Amino acid sequence: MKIEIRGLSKIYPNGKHALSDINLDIENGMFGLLGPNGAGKSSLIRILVTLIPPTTGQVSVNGFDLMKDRGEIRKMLGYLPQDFRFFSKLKTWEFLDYAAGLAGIKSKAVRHKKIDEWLEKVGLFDARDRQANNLSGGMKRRLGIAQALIGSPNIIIVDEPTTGLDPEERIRFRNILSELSQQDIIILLSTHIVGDISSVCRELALLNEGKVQFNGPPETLVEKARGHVWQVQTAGVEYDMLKENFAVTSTIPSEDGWEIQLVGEKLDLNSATEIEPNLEHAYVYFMESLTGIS
Amino acid sequence: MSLHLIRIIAAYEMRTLLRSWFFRIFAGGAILGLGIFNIALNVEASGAPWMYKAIAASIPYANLIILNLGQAIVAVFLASEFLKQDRKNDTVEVIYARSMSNGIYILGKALGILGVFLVLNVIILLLGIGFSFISNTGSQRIFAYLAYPLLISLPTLVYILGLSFFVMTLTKNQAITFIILTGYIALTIFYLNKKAFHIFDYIAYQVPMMYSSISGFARLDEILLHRMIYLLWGIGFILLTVYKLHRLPQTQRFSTLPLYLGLVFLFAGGGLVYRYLDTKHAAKEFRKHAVALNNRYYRHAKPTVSSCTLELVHNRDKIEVVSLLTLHNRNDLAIDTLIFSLNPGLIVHSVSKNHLPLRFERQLHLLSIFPDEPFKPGDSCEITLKYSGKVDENICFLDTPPDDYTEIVNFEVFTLRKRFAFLQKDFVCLTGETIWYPVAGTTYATDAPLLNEPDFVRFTLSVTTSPELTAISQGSSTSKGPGIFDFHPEYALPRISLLIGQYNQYKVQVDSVEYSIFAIHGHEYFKPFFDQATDTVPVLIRDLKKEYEVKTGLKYPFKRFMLAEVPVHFALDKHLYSYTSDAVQPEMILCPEKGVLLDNADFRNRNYRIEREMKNNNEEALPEEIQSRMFKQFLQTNFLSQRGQGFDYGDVINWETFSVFPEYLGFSTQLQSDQWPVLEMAFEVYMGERNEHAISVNWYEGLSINEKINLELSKVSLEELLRKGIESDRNEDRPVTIRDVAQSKGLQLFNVLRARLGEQEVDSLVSRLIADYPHTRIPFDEFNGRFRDHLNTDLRQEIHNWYVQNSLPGYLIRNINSYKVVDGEVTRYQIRFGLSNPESTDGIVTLNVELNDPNRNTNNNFFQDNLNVDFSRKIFLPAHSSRDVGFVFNTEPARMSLMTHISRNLPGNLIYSFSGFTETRNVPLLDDVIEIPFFDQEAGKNETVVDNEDKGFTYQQAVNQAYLKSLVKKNKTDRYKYSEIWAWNPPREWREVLRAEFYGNFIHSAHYTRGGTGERTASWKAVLPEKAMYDVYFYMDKVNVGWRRTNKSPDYNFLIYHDNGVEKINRSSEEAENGWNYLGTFSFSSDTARVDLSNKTIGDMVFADAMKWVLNE
Repeated sequence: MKIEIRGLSKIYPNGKHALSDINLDIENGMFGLLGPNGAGKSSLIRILVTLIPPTTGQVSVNGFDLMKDRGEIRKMLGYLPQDFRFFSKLKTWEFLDYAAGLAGIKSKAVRHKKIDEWLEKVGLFDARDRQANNLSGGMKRRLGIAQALIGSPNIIIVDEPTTGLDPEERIRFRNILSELSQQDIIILLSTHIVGDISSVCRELALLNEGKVQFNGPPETLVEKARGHVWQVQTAGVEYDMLKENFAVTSTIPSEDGWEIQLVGEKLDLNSATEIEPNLEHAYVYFMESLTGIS
Repeated sequence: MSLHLIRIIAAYEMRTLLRSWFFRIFAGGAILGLGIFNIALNVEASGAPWMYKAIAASIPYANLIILNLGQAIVAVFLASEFLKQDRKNDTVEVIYARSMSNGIYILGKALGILGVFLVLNVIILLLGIGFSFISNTGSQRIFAYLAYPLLISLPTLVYILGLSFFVMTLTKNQAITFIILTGYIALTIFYLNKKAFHIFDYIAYQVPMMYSSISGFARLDEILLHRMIYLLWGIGFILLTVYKLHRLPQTQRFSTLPLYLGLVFLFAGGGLVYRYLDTKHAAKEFRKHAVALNNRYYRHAKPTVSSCTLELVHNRDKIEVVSLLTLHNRNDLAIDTLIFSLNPGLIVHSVSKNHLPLRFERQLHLLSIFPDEPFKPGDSCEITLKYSGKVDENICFLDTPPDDYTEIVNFEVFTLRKRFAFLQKDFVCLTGETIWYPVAGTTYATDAPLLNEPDFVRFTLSVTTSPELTAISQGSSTSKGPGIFDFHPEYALPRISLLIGQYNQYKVQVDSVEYSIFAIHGHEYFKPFFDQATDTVPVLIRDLKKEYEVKTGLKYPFKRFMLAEVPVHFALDKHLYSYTSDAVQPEMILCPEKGVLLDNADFRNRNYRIEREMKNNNEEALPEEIQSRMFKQFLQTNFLSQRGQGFDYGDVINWETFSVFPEYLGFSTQLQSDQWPVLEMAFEVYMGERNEHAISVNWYEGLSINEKINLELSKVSLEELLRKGIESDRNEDRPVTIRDVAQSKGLQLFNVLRARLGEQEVDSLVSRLIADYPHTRIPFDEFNGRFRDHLNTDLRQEIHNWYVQNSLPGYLIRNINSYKVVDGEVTRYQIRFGLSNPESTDGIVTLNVELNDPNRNTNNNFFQDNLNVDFSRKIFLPAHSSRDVGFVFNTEPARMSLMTHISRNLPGNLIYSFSGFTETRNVPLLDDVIEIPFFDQEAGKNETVVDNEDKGFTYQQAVNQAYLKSLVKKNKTDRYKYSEIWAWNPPREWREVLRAEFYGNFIHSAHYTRGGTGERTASWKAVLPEKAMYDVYFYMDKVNVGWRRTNKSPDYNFLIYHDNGVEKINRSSEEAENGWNYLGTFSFSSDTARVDLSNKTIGDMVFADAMKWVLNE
C-alpha cells in the first residue's frame, strides 16, 4: 500500500487556501497527521477520502489516480470523520450492516458474523439494538471505528478520533489501531493530540497553515528538540518570566513553588536541568519555532 | 456488485422511511380511510353507487386513484427529506466515501422510497381486491388489478420523486422545494387537469383507466403513452439528480453521462408528449376534414337504398363484409356519382354491378362509385361491395364541434374514455353510427345540422364469428351452427347494429313481442332477484307497455325488444338531430355492463330499500311483491322516463338517453322535409311529449336551459341559429345546444297548432298519419296535405314564419286574485288573473297549480321551483290578445306557476304563493279562459316606472376584484348576462339576476352587488311628463336565499335628486314590504328626476330593481 501526494493544493470557493503544495508519501503502518486546528488536516483527509476534489496536484493510491479512479480507491478505504453524531433512523447493528453491505460484503451471514465480531471488539454488543442516534458520544465514535473497519479496508483514515473520548475509551481506541497497524495496511490518523500518535506512528507529517512543516519518523522530530527542553524548579517572579518567554509543557505544584517543563531555543538558568525530549515536547518546540519564524 | 449495492441502499432507505412518522401517519390514514370507504361501499344501507360493486376493477381503481392523490404529495416530502438528511447527517460522509457510483446511490434511494410506496399500494390494492371479491359476483380480472399500480402509481411516483430530487438539488432547501412542488401539484389538479387532453395530469386522475369486465381498458395504447411520458421524465430527472448530486462521481470519465442520459429521457418524454398531442390533434383534424367533405357533398343527389344484404365474417379485430345493395334513383335527375358513407377504417376491395367492376374512390368515409352509365330517375340497380378492416371511431358523432369534443367522461372517481364501437377478438359492438355498412349519402354536415334522412332499408345479415360467441342483431335470428348466425328483420329499418360476445339470452314472450335480456356470461347478477316474479313479469310488461302506449298514443311496431349489455365505455352521446343516445337501437337498447349507469340497477340494494319501505308502511313484504316493484321501477325510470326526471349521473344521462320512445316513432316513422329538416325533431318531440305535463325542473339558481334558449332566440331566428350554431361557453355546466333550441321551438310549434286547431283534432290526425306510414318516412307534402284537407290549414307559411322570424311571444300578468266563493252550498277557491300577449307571435303559457295537501311532506321541497302539479292547463294566447284566466278549486291552492316556454319572459317560470284565501267574495265563478279587451304595459296612469332593464337605469361598476382572481378569470366573459345569486360570496360588481318576484314587464330582473361603503351606485333617471310633485317608490323584493354570510337584513341608502336639492333616505328592508315602497314626495322637473342607490349597507348585498314616480295630484 502506498499513497503518493504531489503538489496538492486546495483553495475553497471563498478564497481560503486550505492546502498548499503538499507532498507526502505514505506507506504501510500508521501515519500521523499532526497539526493545530485549522492547519488543513481535515481538508487533506477529505480529499483523500474522495469527498472533495483538490484544486491542483496529484494523489495516487497504490497506483490509482485519485481524480480518475475514485471507485478503486473508495474500495480500499475505511473512513471515520471528525464529526460523527447524526444518523438516520437506524439501530446500531443496522448501521454496521449498511456499512458492511456498502463495503461489498454480499452474504448476509458473513455480514452478521462480522457485525457481531466488531460490536464485541468495540464493546457495543449490548447496545446493538439501540438507535444509533441515542448512543453516547463515545459509543458513537466506537461505532464509527467499527463501521470504518468492518469491510477490512486497506487504508483506514481517521480524523480526530479521540476528541471527546474519556481516557479509557481513548486507550481502547489506541489499542484497536495498534493491533491493526501490524497488518499490511495504511492507517492515517489525523489529530491535534500528540498522545494519540506518539506510541504507535511510524511516521508523521506536521501540518501548519496548509503546509507540511515536517515529514518523517517521530524520532527525527524528537531529535530536533534535543537540547531545547528543560525542567525547572521555580517560583514567584521567575516563574512569570519563564511563562512569558518559553512554552511551558507541564506545570506541577511543589513544596516551594512549581516544577515546570519548558521548551525553548536557549535557557541560561542554573536551576534548569536539560531533560530527554518526547514527541509532545518536539511538537511544541517545532510549532514554537514556526511561530518564531513567522 | 451494483445490484447488491442498489439492494442494500434501497433496503435501508425503506427501513428508514418505514420508521418515519410522517409516512406512518400517511400510510395508516390511507389504509384506515380507504378501509372505511371500502366497507361503506359494501354496506347495503350506505347506498353506495352500483358502479363500485358491479365492475370488478372499480374498487381497486378507486382505491389507487385516491391513494395516488395523497402519495403524490407525500412523496415530495419524503424525496426531499433524504437529500435534506444527507446534508444534515454528518455520518453520511462515511457512506459517500464508499465505493459506489452516484447513479447507484440515487437509484438505490429512489427504489427504497418507491419500495415503501409499493408496499402501501399493494396493501391498498389487496384491500380493494378483497372488497371487490366480496361485492362482486362476476368474473375477476387479475390483469386489471396488477395493471393499476403500474399505470397509476409507478409513473406518478417516479416522476414526482425525480422532480422533487431535482428541485431539491437545485434549491438545496426542503421548504422551498415543498412549496414549489405543492404549488405545481395544486396547479395540475385544480387548473391544468383537463387542459390539453389532460397531458398535465401526472396523477392520472383524468386518465381514463376504467377497466370494463367485457372489453378491458378503453384505449390501453393511449394510457401507456400518457403514463410513459411521466415515467421517462421521472427517470430523466433522477438522472439529472445523479449528475447534480453533491458527491464526487466514481470516475471522471463517465461523470457527465447522467446529464446526457437524463436529457435523453426528458427529450424522449417530450417526444411522447408530441406524439400524444399529435394523435389527439390528428383526430380533431380528421373530424374537421370529414365534416368539410360532408358539407361539400351533402347536397349531391343520393340513391335510395331499399335493401341491403350483409355477409360478415368477424376475425379478431377485423371484419370482412360482402354487401349487396338494391338502389333506386328517386330524384328528378340522373346520378353520375353514387355517394356512400362507410367507416374510413374499412378498406373497399371491389364494387361491382352485375359482376362487372365499377370504378370507385375513397375520401375518408366517403365512397364515390362511378356507374358505367348515369343512374336515371326511376331506375333501380344492384351493386356489390367487398370491404374489410378495422373501424375508425373518429368518424362517429361529427356533430359535436371538434373543439368541444371530449372523449373523457367522469363518473364517481372514475374516468372513462368514450368508445363508439368495439371490434375485438371476443367482443364486437357496431352501431349504425360507425357506418360499418354502406349508407347512401353523407353524414353530419354543419351546413345542414339537423339533416338526417336515413333510408328505411330491408336488411339481411349473416355473421360468422368464433364458435363460442353469440351474435345479436335486429330481426329474427337463426343459427346454422356455432358462430354462424342469420338475421332477417321483418321490417325496413333506418339502421342496424351488431353485437358479438359471450352472451346468454333470457327471454319471455308477451303477446306478440319477444322480450330478451342479453347478458354477458357471468354477468347474470339480476337472476336471483327476480326468481319469485317469473309469473308476474309478463303481466308487468303488458301493463307497462299498455300504459306507455296510452300516454304516447303509439303502438310498438316491432316483434322483439332486447336489452343487451355493452361495456361501460360505450358512448351515450346524442346527435343534434336525434331524440336519444346511440344506446337506443331498433328493437334493442344497449345497456352499460350490469346496468352501472342506469338507475335502480343495484337490485340487492333496491330489494333492501323496498323491503324496508314496505315494512315502514306496515305492508307485508312478500318477495314476489318486492321483486315486482323492483322490476317496474327499473323499467320505468330508465326506459319509460319523462322529461324532467332526475338521474344518478345527470351530467351524462337524462330522460332521453335510454328512452324507448324512438322504438315507437323514429325507428319506424319519420317526417321528411327537405326544406326544414328540423321538422323531424319538432315532430318527434311533439309526439313524445304531447301528453306530458310541463314540469319545470331547475336545480340551480342560475339560468335554466329554457331561459338560455329564450335568450338565444331573442337575438336570432331558428334558421340563423341552425346555420351559425351556438358558440359554446365552456364555463357553463350545461351549455345550450341547437338540439335544445330545436326541441323547444318544435314543441312550441305543435302546441300552438294544437291550441289553435284543437288538441284532439291535431293528435288524431297525426296518429292516423303515422299508422298509414309504417316503417317509412312521411313526406312533408303528405303531412301538410292532411292538415289542409282535414283542418283547413296550410302549414307552409306558419312553419316558414316559425323558422325565419325571431319574434317571440311575451306575457304580461296582472291582477292576480285569490278568494273564496260560495258555489251553492260549498265554498270553493277561485284563482283569477289577467294575461296578455302584446307581441306579434302566438304563444302558449302553462299554468300549474299545487293544492294544499296536508298529507304531503313539504319539508323536503327544498327547491322552490319544483312544485307539485295537481292541476295543469295550457293557455293559448294569440298575438296582441288578452285573456281573463280563472280556475276554481275545491281544495285550497297553495301555489301556482306560469311557465312561459318560448317567449320574451324571464325567468321562464313565475311562481306565486297564495297566502291563505281569507276573503270571500260574492261574485260569479270563472272557471275558464275568456277573451278580454287587450291590455299592454303594467304601469298605470300618471305613473313613470324605470326598471333596471330600461335605458334610464345606469350603474357604476367600480370592480375591485382581488388581483389573483382577476388573473384566473381573465378572458372569461359569460355568454349570458344573468347570473345566480351568490349569497355566500356576492360579487364585487353589479350583476343581473332573474327572479319571478322582481319587477319587470317580460324580464323580472334586478341588479345586485356586494354590500360595501358606497363605492358602487345604481341610478334611475326618468323623463317625467311635467314639472310637479311626485311620490317616489322603490320596488323591493326581500330576497330570501338559503345560505348567507350574515343574518343582517340590508338597509338601502338612496339619494333623491329633486328640484330643491338632494335628499338622503335610508330604508331598512326589514320594515319594507315586498313590492312598491314609498320613499317620499318631491318636486321634479320633467327631465331631471333621478334616484341613486349606493351599495352602502349593513347587509351582505343590495338589489337595484325598479323606481316609480307617481304624479301627486
